[in-house]
Amino acid sequence: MKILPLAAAVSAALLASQAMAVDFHGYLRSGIGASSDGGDQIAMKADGAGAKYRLGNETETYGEFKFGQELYNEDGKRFYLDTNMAFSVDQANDWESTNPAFREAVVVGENLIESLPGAKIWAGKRFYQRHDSHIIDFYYWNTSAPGGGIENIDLGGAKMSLAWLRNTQDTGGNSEIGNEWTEATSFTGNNLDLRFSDIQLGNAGSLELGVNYAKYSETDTNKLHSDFAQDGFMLTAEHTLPIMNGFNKFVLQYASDAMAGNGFSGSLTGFGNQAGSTGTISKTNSGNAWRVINHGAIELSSNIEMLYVGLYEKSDLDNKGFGTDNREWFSVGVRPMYKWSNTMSTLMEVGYDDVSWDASARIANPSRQDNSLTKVTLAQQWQAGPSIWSRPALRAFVTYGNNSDIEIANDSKDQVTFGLQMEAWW
Amino acid sequence: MKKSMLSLALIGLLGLPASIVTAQTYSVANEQAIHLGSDQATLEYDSDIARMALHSVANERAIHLGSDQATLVFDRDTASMALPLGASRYQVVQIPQGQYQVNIRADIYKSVFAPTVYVIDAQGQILQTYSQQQLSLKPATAMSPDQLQLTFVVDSQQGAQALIIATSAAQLLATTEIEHPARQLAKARSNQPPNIPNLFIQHVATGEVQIRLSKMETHTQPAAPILVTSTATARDAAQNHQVSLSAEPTAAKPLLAESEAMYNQAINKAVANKDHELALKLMLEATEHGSTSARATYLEALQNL
Repeated sequence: MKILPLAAAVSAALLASQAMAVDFHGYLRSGIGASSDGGDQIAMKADGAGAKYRLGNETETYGEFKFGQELYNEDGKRFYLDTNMAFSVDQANDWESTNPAFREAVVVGENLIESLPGAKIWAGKRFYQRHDSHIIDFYYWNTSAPGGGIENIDLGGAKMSLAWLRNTQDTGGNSEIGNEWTEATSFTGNNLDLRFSDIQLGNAGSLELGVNYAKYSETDTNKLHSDFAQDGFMLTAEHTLPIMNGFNKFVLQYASDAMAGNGFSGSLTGFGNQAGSTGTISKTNSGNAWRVINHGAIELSSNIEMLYVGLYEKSDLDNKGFGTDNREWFSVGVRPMYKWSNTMSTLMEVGYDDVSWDASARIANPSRQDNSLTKVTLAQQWQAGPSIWSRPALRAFVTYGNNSDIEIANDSKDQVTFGLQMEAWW
Repeated sequence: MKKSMLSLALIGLLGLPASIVTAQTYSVANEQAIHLGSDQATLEYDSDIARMALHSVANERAIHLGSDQATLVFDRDTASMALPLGASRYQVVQIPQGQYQVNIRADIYKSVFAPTVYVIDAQGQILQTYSQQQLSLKPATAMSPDQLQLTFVVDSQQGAQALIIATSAAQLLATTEIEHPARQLAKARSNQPPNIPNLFIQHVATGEVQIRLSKMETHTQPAAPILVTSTATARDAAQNHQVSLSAEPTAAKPLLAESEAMYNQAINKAVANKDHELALKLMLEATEHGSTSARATYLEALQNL
């Protein structure tokens, strides 16, 4: 008699039916804010910095809707289709039309190659193994693009991933970049991405190493000006240490030539723009850039968690008479969170960014000024869970910002903003 | 016709084994922890006294679910008593007349109250015990945090009178392994998850448990089987749809005794290996080919798991 209830339970679970089970994932943030001087909330960022401290400092509605479905799963072989539509609007009105971006459309096949168990082959557009620092919303290794490849090959001691990715860069129809007789509007680029992840170091954490090589693809009628490098590479080494119920990541990156430039992240960085009235181009594509980041999320006590980041980036591209974007960017910040309960917390975010321009950057654009931005935010937050990563979250915030040299708004280098914001991911 | 129905049913099942495996991966970590304290699981336990206690408890303090759903709180004011799997704070829920699917969920935050459920009859005798090994882990979604879940069926016609919800001594020594929220976030956003270990959530003696009773209507045909691709949908479907045991398929001709034995052996082996997909397929195939014992073998193997 004991069997029957279980039989019913097993059968209920096994014979369950559901119409078209589609997985729905995504991200969304939205809200309202204002400046204490009147007018809309102003997002504060140091001029020339690659990112900004985001808490209480985001002024747009941004969303990503991902619909995915497992199309096949048998004997460990699995096919999964994923999509992602993203949009961003000003959050100024009810009706804000937008042209959504189709950011992902990909099929991933798992365990399809008998000799490579656990490996995944894929083709399509996708977010490709992105690495970011959440507190400043900075994606320092992001080669997301249309492409294809194989991921997660177990080498014993490391997992290898190889991908071919597309980079296309606009020239803005600039004949100084394109061939001298016809103005090229864009250049197709190819990016080869090779990564070795999950290199375990015992108690010393784990390591991920990667190399990206990308090259513009010239044609008979579309050639680069000889002053522009046609290719470049980026090297990344990332060390992850699990500490204090969280992690610390230490990252070293070096990029050369066509992949170097401010905020480089593993793709071709484009051709810069014509700066000022002189019509010079502020980026020549040859030279290098490097960066060091230390960031993480840790639990300081059962009630306190913290995000933090320290970052230094320097670009050093050749002048070649065009001027450059060369600058140094230094950033340091923390976001502690005190948890009153599983659903309520108080957050503070303190961030400091400093940008120093190179002389060659002032040649390209004389209005450039060294500047540093200090930003402090206090937020009361209600979130679904006790983690600093728990979402959705509703928050009320006050943000103070001060730029050392540049007026932020309303003839003032200081600014106070406040508002309400929601953030969700699922 | 029957064949195509069966294959459709199989397609419907494809998504499920992965979820079962996931649940087991988590429980394996816990099982080891349980063994550490397993000597406590068989503590001196005077069954007569306990039965009397259970009986009186069932009659006096039982919660009658008005809305089929309730939050059971286990705090300093909650009574406790010695139970077969260890002393614990407990709550009693009355089972109404009929067959019910019971869903029990415990939200996982910094800690969790890991439920153990005793099904008792009118005499206070324990008919069935569900504890750590029967729990499954449901990862967090936008709508809910990580949860320990337990689903089973009770039938008042088979004597089930009440449920005692408590925790066990072994569970209090165990932990629940969940994926680090930083990794969960990374996956939701298609980022590379940080290479960090899972969290081990402490089991505690106080907390909350959600319970829901859903009346089962037996012998109604389920809707046409449709592709189920994820744990959550399979589970939701199991919770939301009334499903029944279908009638035993009749075979054209009986199976050779040797073939039948082979099938049963294979079913037992698959269940033992926790390859539920294979076990179920073998059972269905054997039954289709005329085995009269495959279904019983399958269910018994599951029962003994």
